[in-house]
Amino acid sequence: MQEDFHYYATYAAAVLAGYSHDESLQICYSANLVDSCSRTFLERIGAPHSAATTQLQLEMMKARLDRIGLQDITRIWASFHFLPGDLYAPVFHGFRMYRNKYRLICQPNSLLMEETVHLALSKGPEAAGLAMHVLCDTWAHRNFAGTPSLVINNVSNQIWEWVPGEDTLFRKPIHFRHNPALPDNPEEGIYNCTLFQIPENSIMNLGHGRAGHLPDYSFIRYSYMPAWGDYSIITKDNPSDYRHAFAQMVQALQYLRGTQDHFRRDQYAWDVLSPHDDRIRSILTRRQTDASRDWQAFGESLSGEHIPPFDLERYQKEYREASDREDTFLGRFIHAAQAQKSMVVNAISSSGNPLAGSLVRRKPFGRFPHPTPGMFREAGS
Amino acid sequence: MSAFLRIGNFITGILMVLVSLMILLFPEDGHLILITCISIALLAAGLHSLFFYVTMARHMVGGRAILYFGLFLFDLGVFTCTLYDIPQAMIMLYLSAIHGFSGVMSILRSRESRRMHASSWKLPLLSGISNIAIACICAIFIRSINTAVLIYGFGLAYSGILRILSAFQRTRTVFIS
Repeated sequence: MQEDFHYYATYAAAVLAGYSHDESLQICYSANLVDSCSRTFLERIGAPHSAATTQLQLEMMKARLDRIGLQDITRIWASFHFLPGDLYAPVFHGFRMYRNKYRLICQPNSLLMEETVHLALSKGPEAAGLAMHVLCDTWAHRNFAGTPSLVINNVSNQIWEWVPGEDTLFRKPIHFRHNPALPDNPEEGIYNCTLFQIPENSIMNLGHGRAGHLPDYSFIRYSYMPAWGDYSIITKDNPSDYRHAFAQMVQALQYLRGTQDHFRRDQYAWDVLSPHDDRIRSILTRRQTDASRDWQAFGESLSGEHIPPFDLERYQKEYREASDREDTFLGRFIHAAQAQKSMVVNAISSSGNPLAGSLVRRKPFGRFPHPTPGMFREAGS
Repeated sequence: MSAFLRIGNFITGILMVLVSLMILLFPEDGHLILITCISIALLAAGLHSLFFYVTMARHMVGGRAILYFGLFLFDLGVFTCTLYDIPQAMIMLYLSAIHGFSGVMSILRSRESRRMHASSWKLPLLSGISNIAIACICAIFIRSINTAVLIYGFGLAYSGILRILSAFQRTRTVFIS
C-alpha cells in the first residue's frame, strides 16, 4: 500500500469512525510515517534506531545478510509490513529452517493483528495510526513474508491480470521489467519487479519485491503461482481486499476511540460504509497507480476540511526542541513503534522461531504480563 | 547488490588477480594451483546448491532446477579434480573451455538484465565477450603452450579486475511500501 491508502484513506476511515478532523490528521500522519521512519530519519532527529519501522533502499543495499543482519531486517518488515498470519501454521514437509520461514507468511485476520489493535488502545492517535498501517498491510501484503526468502517470496514468471470487460473479466498477461526509474504502466501491463536471485537470503527476495508493486495497487486483480504454494494458483482480488481493509480499519478505530467495547478478528464496519459504498468501490477499481486525489476528495467531503499533504518535516522541530521528547508526537510514535516491535518479536521468538532474533529482559526483576517499550532490548543490536 | 555480495565479489576479484600472477610467474606449475582452486570452488558451490535443495528448495515451485544446477556443479568439480596428471596442453584447453563457458553465462545474464530494462547489463556483457575472446585465443595458441599460459594468465587478471569493478557497481531495488 502507498500514501493514497495509508494517508488519505486512513483519514477517511478515522472520520467515519467518529474522530475529529485534527485527530484524524494525526492518525493518518502516523499511519503514513511508518513508511518513512527509517534509521536515517531517526538519526536525523536524534531518536533511537530501535524504533525504525522501515528501511530505505540504500539501507537495504548496505544491510548485512548474516544471521544478525537477517534478524534485523525481519524484525522491521515482519512487525510493520508483513505481520505473520499464523506462527504455528501446520507444515508437514521441510526442515525447520523452511518451516520457520513459511510461518512468517503474512495473512489478514491473525491473532497478531488483533493484538496489534489491542496494544494501541488508550495510547493516542500515534499508536492508532501505526496499528492501522499494520492492519491494512496484512490485506495488501498477504501471501508474502517479511524476511528475505527465495523459497517463499518468489513468484512464477507467468502472472495474469483479470481486466473487467463489459460482461466478464478477461485475462491479460503481465510483463515485468527491472528499471525502478521507469513508472509502472497498467495500460500496457508492464510493471517493475526485483531481479531473480538464486541466493535464498538475497535482499531482492524480501516481501513482494518479486511481484513488484502489484499488491500496492487497489484496482488490480491478478493470478500467480507463489513459490510456497505447491503449484497452486492464487487469484488476488485487490479491490475486495482493500475494501475489507478499509471496513476493518473503521471497526478498529471505533474500538480505539471507545465506541466499541471490543475488537475481534473478522469484524467489519459494513454498516458505517454502506452509505459510501459506491464511491469507495469506484475509487478502488479505478485504473490508476496513485489514488491520492480520489481519497483526498472523499475524505474532505466527509469532514468538510482540507487535508494537507503529508510532510515529513511537520513534527521534527517539535521533537528536536522538546525538553521532554516522550511527550511529543514523534516521541509517542517512537514509543508505539517500539511496543509493536517488542510484541511481534516476542511472539515470533516464543513460537520457537529464531528468524526475528530473541528478546532479552532489560530489567532483572519484576513481572510483566505484556511487553512494553524499553522493557526489552533487541539481542544483537 | 548488498554490501556482503560486494565484499564477496571484491575478495574473489583479488584472488583471481593473485592466481593469475602466480600463473604468469610460474607458468610450469601455476595451472595446477588454478585447477585445485577451481575444483574446490565447484565442489563447494555444488554441495551448497544440493544442501539448499534438500533443506529448502525442494518445496519451492521450480525448485528442481536448483537440484540439477547443484548436480552439474558437483560433477564438474569432481571431473576437475581428476585433471592433475594429464598433459598441460589438455589442462589449458579445459581451462579455456571453462573460461569460455563463464563468458557465455555472463552474456546470458546480461541479456536477461537488458530484457528487464535493468541498467546493469553492460559490464557483464563486456566481461562475457572478453572471456570468450580469451578462451578462443588460448585455444588457437595451444600448440605454443607458454604463449597460451601467458594469454590465459592475462585473461584471468582482466576478469578479476572486472569483478572488482562490479563490486562498486550501483544497483537498484523495488522499494516496498
